Amino acid sequence: MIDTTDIPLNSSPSIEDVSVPETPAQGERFFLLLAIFIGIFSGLAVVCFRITIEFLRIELLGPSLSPPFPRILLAPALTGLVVALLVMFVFPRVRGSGVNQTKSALYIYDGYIPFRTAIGKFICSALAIGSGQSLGPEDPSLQVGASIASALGRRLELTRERLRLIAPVGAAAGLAAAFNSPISAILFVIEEVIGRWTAGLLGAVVLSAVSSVVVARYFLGSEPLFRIPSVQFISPSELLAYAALGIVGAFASVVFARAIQVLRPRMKDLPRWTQLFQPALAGLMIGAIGLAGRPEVMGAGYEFMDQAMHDQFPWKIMAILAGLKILATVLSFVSGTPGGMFAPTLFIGAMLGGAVGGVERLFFPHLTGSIGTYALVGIGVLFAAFLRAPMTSVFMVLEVSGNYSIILPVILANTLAYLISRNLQPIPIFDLLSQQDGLGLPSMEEQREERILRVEDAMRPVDVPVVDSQLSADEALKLAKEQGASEILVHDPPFGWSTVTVKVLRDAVKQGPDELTIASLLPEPHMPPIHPDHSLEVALRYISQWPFLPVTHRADTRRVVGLIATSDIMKAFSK
Amino acid sequence: MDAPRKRTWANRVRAGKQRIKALRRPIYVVALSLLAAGFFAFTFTINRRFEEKRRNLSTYWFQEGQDELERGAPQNAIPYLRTALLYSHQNPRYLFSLARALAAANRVPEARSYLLNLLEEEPGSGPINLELARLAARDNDPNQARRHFNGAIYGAWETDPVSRRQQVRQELISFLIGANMKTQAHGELMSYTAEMPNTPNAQLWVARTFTKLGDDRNALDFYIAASRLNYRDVTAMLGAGWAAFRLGRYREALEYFKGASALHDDPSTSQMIDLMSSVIKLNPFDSSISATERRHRLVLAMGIADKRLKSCADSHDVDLDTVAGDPLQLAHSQWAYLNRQIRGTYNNSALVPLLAPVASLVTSIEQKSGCGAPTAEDQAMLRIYQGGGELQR
Repeated sequence: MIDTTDIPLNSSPSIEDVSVPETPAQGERFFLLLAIFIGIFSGLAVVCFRITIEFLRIELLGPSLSPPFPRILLAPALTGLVVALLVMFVFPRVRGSGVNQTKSALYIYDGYIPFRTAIGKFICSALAIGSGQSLGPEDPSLQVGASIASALGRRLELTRERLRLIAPVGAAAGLAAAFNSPISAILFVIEEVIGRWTAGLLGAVVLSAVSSVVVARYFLGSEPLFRIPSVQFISPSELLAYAALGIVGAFASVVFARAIQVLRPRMKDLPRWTQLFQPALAGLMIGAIGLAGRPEVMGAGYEFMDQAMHDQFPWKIMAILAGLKILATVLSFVSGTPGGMFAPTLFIGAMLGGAVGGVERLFFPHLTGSIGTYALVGIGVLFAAFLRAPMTSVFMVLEVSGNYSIILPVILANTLAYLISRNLQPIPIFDLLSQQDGLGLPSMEEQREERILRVEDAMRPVDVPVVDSQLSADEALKLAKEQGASEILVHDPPFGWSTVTVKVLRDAVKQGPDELTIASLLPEPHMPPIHPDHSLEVALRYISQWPFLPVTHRADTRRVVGLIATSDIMKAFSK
Repeated sequence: MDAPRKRTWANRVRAGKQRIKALRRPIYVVALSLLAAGFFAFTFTINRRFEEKRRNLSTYWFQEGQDELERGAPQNAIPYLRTALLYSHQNPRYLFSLARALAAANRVPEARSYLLNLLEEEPGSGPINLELARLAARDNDPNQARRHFNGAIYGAWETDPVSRRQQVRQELISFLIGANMKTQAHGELMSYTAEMPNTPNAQLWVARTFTKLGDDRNALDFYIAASRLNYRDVTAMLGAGWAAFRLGRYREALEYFKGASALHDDPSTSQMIDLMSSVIKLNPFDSSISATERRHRLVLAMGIADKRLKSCADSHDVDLDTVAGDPLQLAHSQWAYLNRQIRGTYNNSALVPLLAPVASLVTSIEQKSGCGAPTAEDQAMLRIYQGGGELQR
């Protein structure tokens, strides 16, 4: 939920009035330099965040891998109470994962994210994850990075346009440091936050992500979050098994998303005082799951993903863990506890992948490779199906595994999972959450799949006379009269195309000499070149100056393949 | 006079502001650098402190795990080692210990998974290859086992690599014998002898292994070498005696058995001494004996075989004087024919060709079942004649 009180709508915190005139190149250079600083600060913040989470885990749950009783029950419950108090009375904007908050900064608040949000997100998420709530540190890291970027941008008096773009730069830095994978972070921010490839922003996003990963690796080491097993892909027939994993993953992701979709608004609709106890209750229930013998579902769970990848659990246990993790994450998330969904998604994917791999190995031992490979592909499957970031999901698996031999299973399983999940759950989880919060954020999935209308979709056949500019005005007039046209299209090499009206021709014929050519009658400037593959937006930019525009062939600009007028464009849009 | 002066001041202030504005970007960069340095120092400090805490925790849990392993409780060691790994994710020592604990707890696939991962990072590691070889041996996968045993033999060992490699080769040889891959085991054993330590125990182990592989010639050499290194080693003496006996080198065997008996008097050794004495006395294959002695020994052998044949005929109620196609009756007629031949022959050149048919007949008679318990003479006969009909040098 995003609390929008006291956030200035379309505020302009920049002080452009005092800015010294600078060249665009200078501004661009400074923005790139700032991106590096954002990366460094975000990287350092994420390192501190990770240390705090682990420190709290040791202090709250104890140093053992399996927390002892009564800590296992009390730590998440009591910390949940503290987190609820902080969220309700000190940091009201830190609920949820942080991805939508960053999108809001980009699309609604001109890049404005209060620095207090970063502090609140840091403290509350660290407490929640450290005490065993089933949430992850990646999305909060993304928001912390975005908040740092926003604060720096405001402080350094960036222009409004740059300030709006700076939050994704910080988000990429935060996510890259948390994931220790710069490519995946960059792709995710482009795929899920920005929604498009923007050349101006890409450089800054890449610089910030890389610098943050360098900082994070300096402190935390270059190892991935979990040790990647030896990856095997035995034969093409095994693709069938990965396809099955894609299908199972899609259904699991739909269950996960539906549970959040149904329960989150109901929990929010409960009286406000209950929100004080919701995280505590969720923590108590998660603690109970842990006490019942499955403490693996508590916290981010990377160490258990590692075990799953190394064939450390029987398939039945992995299937149970996947189910329980969905339950635990839903409980934590719908209770309003701040924390991310990336790590739980990866956990569920790893367990589900391992379980599917285990079952397949049981029944078709000749078919399957290592369980670790299935767990790794499972991570990508859930990422594609639940978070609906198909491209990121593929690159993430490749980046963390460092092995391109599994690209085929990953692409197949992820694509299947993505398509099935999209059919069964048309609204992606982040769009769903923003809708529930009453925000009109653009849907990145819709944007990606939006059909771009092109000139060829709107143009009509050539229904006016087409003549050369060297033709005499008299002959041109005759031609126009013969065809009943009020205007003629004129090719005037080497300048291009233009038009002349019958009225102008008639006046010229009446007053001018007999040998007068149309070239002398053409208005300036000439028409811009429009081709069938141009988007209608491009055509719209020019159309107001002319009654129609000729659509020419790209390979031969003297050849007119159609005409386009404002009315044609409107007709195409209204279809 | 005041107005131009004021204008000058205003201009100066304005110019100063412009200069500051022009310098603001470099100032920002310097300020950000200082801030980053401060933040870095802070993070560095807390990270170092936390690293220390992690190190202490990982060491503590690892020690707990090791203690449990040493106590022979790998199941208890596993959670401790896993917790140690929580604080030191990629520590190869911890991972290796966890893999060993898993293997000891019979969780072979899990152990193998960790070991393969470790091997990927350190393909030339001796200990990792050895553990994988043991797992493959447990799974009856001789190909993988041999691959990893060889990886361990030629791999890197942190301490005492020569002796570790020798131990691994010993383990490989034992595995190959167990898997009935005797040819490969023999090859490995020959390789081992080229690098083995010159200790009585090692020589004795090699001699015994050669015995297991049926290579008595090499076994005898190594028993002799072992007994030379340790004159009081009864086992080596006895082993040499038996090897020499199986090779048909009865005089040598007698000497070794006597040597063993002198060190440790044992009824079974005395029995062997008696047997050897009988064998030496009855052995017609000795190339150094005269024609008269050879004829005498053959006649004695035919007499012992006749007794055994009659005992068999009594047991099976067969009349040896008639010919009705019974194998015992056929053997008896062969015996009668050869007996006549021996008794009518007096020179070595005619007696030596008779050794092979006599050996064949005596062996077939002595091996017959259901004829009562064989006497010491019968056993000696079987030992002597079973080897064939060649003269022994």
